[in-house]
Amino acid sequence: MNKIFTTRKLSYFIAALFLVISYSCQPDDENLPEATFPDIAEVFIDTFSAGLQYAAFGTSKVTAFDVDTDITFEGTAAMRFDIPNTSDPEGGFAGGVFTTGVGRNLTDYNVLTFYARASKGETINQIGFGLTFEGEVFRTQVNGIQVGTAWQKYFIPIPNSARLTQERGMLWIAEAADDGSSYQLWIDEVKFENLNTIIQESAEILNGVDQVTGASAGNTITIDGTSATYNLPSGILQSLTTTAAYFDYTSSNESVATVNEFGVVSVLSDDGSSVISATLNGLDANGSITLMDVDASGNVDDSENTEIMLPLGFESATLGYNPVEFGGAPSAVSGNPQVGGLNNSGNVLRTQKVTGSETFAGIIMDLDVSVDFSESEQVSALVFAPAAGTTVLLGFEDGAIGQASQVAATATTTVANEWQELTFDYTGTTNTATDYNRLVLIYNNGTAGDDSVYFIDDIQLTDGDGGGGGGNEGDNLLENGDFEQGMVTWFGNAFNVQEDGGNSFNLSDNEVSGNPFDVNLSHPVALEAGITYTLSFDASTSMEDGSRTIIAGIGLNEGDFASATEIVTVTSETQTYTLTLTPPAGSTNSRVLFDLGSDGGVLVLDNVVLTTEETMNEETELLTNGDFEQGMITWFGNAFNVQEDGGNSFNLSDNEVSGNPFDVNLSHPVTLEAGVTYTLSFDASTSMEDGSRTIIAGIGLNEGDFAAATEVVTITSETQTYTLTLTPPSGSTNSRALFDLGADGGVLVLDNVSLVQN
Amino acid sequence: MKIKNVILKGIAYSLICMAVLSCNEDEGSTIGLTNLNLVFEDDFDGEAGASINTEFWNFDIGTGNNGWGNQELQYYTDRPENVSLDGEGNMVITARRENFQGAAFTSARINTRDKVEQQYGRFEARIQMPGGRGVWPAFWMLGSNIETEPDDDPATIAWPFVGEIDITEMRGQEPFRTIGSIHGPGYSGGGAISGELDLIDERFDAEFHEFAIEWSPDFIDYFIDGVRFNRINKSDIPNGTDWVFDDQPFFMLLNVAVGGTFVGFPVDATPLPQQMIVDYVRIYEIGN
Repeated sequence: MNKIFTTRKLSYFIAALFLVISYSCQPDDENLPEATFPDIAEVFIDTFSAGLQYAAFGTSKVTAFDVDTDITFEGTAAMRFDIPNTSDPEGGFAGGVFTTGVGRNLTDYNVLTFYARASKGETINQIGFGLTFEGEVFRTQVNGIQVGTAWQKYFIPIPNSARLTQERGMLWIAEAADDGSSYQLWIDEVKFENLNTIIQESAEILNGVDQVTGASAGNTITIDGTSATYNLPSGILQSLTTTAAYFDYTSSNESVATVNEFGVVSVLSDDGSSVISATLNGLDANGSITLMDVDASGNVDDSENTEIMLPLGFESATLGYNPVEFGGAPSAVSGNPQVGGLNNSGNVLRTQKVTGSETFAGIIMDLDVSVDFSESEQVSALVFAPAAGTTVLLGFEDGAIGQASQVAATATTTVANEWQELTFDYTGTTNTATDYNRLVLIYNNGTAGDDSVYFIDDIQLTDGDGGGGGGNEGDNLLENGDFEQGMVTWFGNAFNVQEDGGNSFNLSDNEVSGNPFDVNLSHPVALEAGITYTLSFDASTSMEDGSRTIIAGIGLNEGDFASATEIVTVTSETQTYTLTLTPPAGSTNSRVLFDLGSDGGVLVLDNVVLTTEETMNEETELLTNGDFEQGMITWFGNAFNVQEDGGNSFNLSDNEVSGNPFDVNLSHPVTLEAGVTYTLSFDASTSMEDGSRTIIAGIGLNEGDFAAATEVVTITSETQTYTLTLTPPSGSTNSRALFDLGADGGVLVLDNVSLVQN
Repeated sequence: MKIKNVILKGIAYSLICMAVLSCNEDEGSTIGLTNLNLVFEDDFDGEAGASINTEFWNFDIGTGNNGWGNQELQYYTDRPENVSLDGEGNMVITARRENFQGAAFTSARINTRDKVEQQYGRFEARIQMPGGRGVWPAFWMLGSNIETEPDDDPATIAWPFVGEIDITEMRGQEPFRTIGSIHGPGYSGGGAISGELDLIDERFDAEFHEFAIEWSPDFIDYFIDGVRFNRINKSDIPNGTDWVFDDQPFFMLLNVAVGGTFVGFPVDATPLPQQMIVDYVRIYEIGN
């Protein structure tokens, strides 16, 4: 069969070329008014419709397309793609664009339909319309359409027909064989229709996430993550990836920010706040950007807000802040008891813990927008208390679930009757799946009230340092503080590295011993006497054990073993513990130590980080979410797919070979300077099945000619750290760290991407 | 809608029936019975979230026997999440994808047994149907003396001998098609006597339609929005089988099944939850 087709295909291909030429040579009809675009519905019925041309993607197998007169759904001809073997030296995939020289007016249609079948069951990687070689303002695509050996009708809805007044991109396709071996795909009766039986179910911008960001005049934010979901005539849902230009955008305050028709937000002013939202065909899209205002005095001004959310300044006259007391702590928004200093704003939240109250008396207050801990797991607040040593418990939970979903942190005042900024650290305890839509506040938890009055204001997420200790490898004095290198470096009888979902940690379970140090775990490090170190680590015990104590610290590993330690109580909930320690003696033969023998039970230990002031700024990490711990933000590209396992987030992709290496890609924005040398490092692995694969990694421009410095790296099924030294040929603030995956196929697990200037 | 698991058979046979039925005279006419008196009406007025009126309605709870005889996947409940008034004059049955009592879906099925029963007349309801692959809504009737558990009581009669009239049922993957059927001994399950109406470029799950039958001693007529699209005569049942629709009053049922032998199974891309929104249910008797 194939051999016969080869000959015939050639003749058809020539015929197709001829068609293109003949159509493109047709003179314009001089009788048509200049600004009128035809509303022709047909794309391919039995032949190319008027003006239609085909051009293959340059890196595809360019001869893959043909017109078939033997196998058709209806009529005399169908389109046929001979999808090549993915190893075909002439191109491992088939694909291209069907365009018209003159744009068509598609405003009367709401869907592109076609029939398709294949010589074997297959998944079509990408098919859509709105793509030309000159532009893709209104590109759409459906990923992963299933095609079988029987003809079936397919639907690609037009997200917003009103936009397509002169569209040239009629159809495009990119397809590589699922299993790598060639097959044939037929497509017939391609046309635009207007069907009442397509129901738009939902639409999304920003992947449906409500983002909150500080407003900085002069910034632009490009809205992406746009898609829509349709209920097809067959009663199933189908998602459609669209460009942002199909949506209608609104800024709630155009003096603060405007949005253009392509979804580019321009921040005009730092004074005030604005919510950017979108609709698609009149349906509200999920996802928004809230530009927050922090006023000149540094105090939170939420007076223009339409929803109760962080940052919370209690300044709005219209929002119904509703603190609900429990146990005897009546609360209300009131005037600032001491304007000036840290707090110049007018209104604050007042709470009185009345005499005879429950020891746990406090308030809950519902938020309209859940707290997004993805960029920061620390909250700061201004507190005004009548005594130093007042403890302030600030928690967040899902109001529908209650305490079981709560994260809470406690901070303590050190001054009386003065505004003071306190920081509440939730590092490692928040869950991205939880809606933290309720605030919980308790003063002096555990002590009954005495009519004391407390004030709080300016509750806001801090800028964040990425949280989850261990993220900044360059700072950590410990080689294997996160145990990811396995059973090395550490020593002691409690040393027992376990791995779960790609994350390694130490797991011990001990009885109470005679000496605390009878059960121990240590990591060698050089210490200097008199210098202050910060030791942080994540720890938990089992549910059964509930809580236990450990001794943690730093000290000599020789002589008198002089050390600086603290007793830490570990609970069944993983928390990050941070100790500030100054060792009495120094030596290159020193260690970080954990002595466990004074109490019994399970101990899970991870992400042990030891830093000093001196090491903090040795190398500045240029990537804000290089370890993916902040989730689905900052990075972009079609290979962006953050997964979380055992508290560690990483990017997981699995791709086919594509025409261009950059067809499958993942990038992190960064500012680069030309001629400066950078070090890019990352942890990567592929699956056991794939064995090994190559990727292209590097840094370069995210605009213009995309000039980049890259290297091809071979990744194996064993996680390794790869370090590249790169000097970009050009620099720009619109640059990126990039991973192009399309040149080879397979799974790629990527984590701990770091870029520093040498 | 059938309530016992019956081997599918007679597909060709039902096709023949269809062909015969399509030759009926008066198809497409709006002419029905003229001497009708309204005897029962539930407009489902009440507050949002309120339960239905249990003077008229009973709840079927659980998974029945073998998924109500059809390998259906849902657990029927009487929770407001699955059946309640919407505060705008409608009753809503909601099929949900949720783990509940070992089932992967929940929904509701209500009936008027022993509360509202009638022989002959017009039975109608205005409904916006649910849709989605594997979703199976129905507005239907059963003979009042149906035997629900095997017993020796001569006063109860097993299905299909008791008779079943499906005013409408739909396969969610064919949201354009309503199917009206009767089931009796010798013409049940896959062999039921059916008629279908297909909307052109519209969907039953996108808007309200009025589904009705007119049941007389001579025939059963099927209507959509007041237009008759099918008539089943006594002569349409197979030779040698009994017409079981002259013996007793029938009660009504409204339900949304998920999965089952009639509809197939839902898939991940099935849009859920799905709602059957019922504006009213009415019964008219035939006057003298």
